[in-house]
Amino acid sequence: MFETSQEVLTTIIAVVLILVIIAVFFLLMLIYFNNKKIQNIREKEKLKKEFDQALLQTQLEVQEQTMKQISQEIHDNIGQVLSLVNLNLQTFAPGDVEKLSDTSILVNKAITDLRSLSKSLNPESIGKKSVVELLQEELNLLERSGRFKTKFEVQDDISLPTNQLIILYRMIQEVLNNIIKHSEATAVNASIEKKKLTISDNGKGFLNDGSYAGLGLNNLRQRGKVIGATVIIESVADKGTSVTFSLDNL
Amino acid sequence: MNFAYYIVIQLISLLIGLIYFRYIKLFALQVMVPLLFFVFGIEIIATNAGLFGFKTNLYIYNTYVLLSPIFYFVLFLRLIKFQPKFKKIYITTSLVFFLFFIVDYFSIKPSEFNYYSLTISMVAYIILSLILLFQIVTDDTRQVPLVSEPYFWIASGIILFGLVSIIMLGLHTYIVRHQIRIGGVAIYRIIMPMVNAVLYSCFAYAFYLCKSYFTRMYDSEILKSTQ
Repeated sequence: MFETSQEVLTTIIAVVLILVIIAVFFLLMLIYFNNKKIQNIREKEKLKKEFDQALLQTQLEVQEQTMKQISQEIHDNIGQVLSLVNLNLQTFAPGDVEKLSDTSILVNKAITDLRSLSKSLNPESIGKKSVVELLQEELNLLERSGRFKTKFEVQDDISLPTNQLIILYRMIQEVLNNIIKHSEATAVNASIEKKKLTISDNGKGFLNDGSYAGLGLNNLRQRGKVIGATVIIESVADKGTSVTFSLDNL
Repeated sequence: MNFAYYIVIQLISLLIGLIYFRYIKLFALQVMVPLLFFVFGIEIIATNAGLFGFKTNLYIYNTYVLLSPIFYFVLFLRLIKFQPKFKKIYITTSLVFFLFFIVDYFSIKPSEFNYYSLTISMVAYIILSLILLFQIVTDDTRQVPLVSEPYFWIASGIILFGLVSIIMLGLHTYIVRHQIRIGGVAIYRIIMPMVNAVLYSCFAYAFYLCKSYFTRMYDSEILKSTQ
């Protein structure tokens, strides 16, 4: 097969070199693959850390918001009712059945409101509710303030894990807070359709010139990124603002 | 006495293994120290066969081919995470191979090289090294770059050494018979020392990494408790 030992020598050296090159190439590929793997694991850990931090911050904000609502509820509602009860009792005359009946109704209302407050104090209550229920509660609060007319259209509900639900709930609260504080709106519409949650108002809107930096919209987008939701904000001056959470990736 | 350059590297590797023995023990590599003692002894006797009263060094290398698999099979048994069922298969297969090596050793003439045993053992080492590398790379709990991983250097050295020595020593008889030489020296006398140097340099670096890996991972208090 081989003419001279020189040919054999060349063949042996070539085979050895090829094998060594293949082995080295294989080992380099392993090093590359392993580095990529480590990079991916670290990125995952970083994302998880960011998510945990965002979740913790959101939980604190939700708690703060809840406390504000409770304080307002006690002052505006239960406090007023109990003041009326107190007045009724001070002016109560024996045999005044109508006043007694009114007082009983007021006390029952105070009890119902207190039960409702007690439920809202339970930190696990958010996780037990659906997106529709949570948004409906927030819209009810707006309606009860007397400043806004609300409308809610639901095509289908959105199912989310508790941690993501808490963050989305906080995002909804932020949008509604912006409406209360800045929009000068009289009507708030909300809808949920095909994993898209939209909240819009008929307020003064704002210009997309960066002057809305104080509205926390970047914060909103950041939170959206943490739970994998896209936040679309559209605003027309004097016509209103619409915020859409696209939850297709969840 | 003749001291080839690759024997010096073997000696350096052995010394590093002894110096960092307490660290390499934590990586289940302690069997490498007796292996290196054995290899160093074999090489000293083989390269100076005349001084030790041997007519040919083939007999000494045949002894190496017979006994070195014991160290390597124990090494891989400790390094690879086998499931209990596969562990039994591994031990049984190793014993069968070893029986074959004994038969091969006693059935060949003193002037022949037992390249069947060598080829089988090298193929086995390469496969086991690949399994070890696969386990390292797919283990998500390890977040150390591969070049800082002692097992990577041991497996890489063995793969490179195995691939070259299968060809060189497998063709040993042919090379001798047909006088395949470079500059008057048999080709395996040039290439084998090179791959030996690569293999034992890899081992030496792996031992050094055991020390640096450990000192990175654990504080001195843990080290004291293991002494």
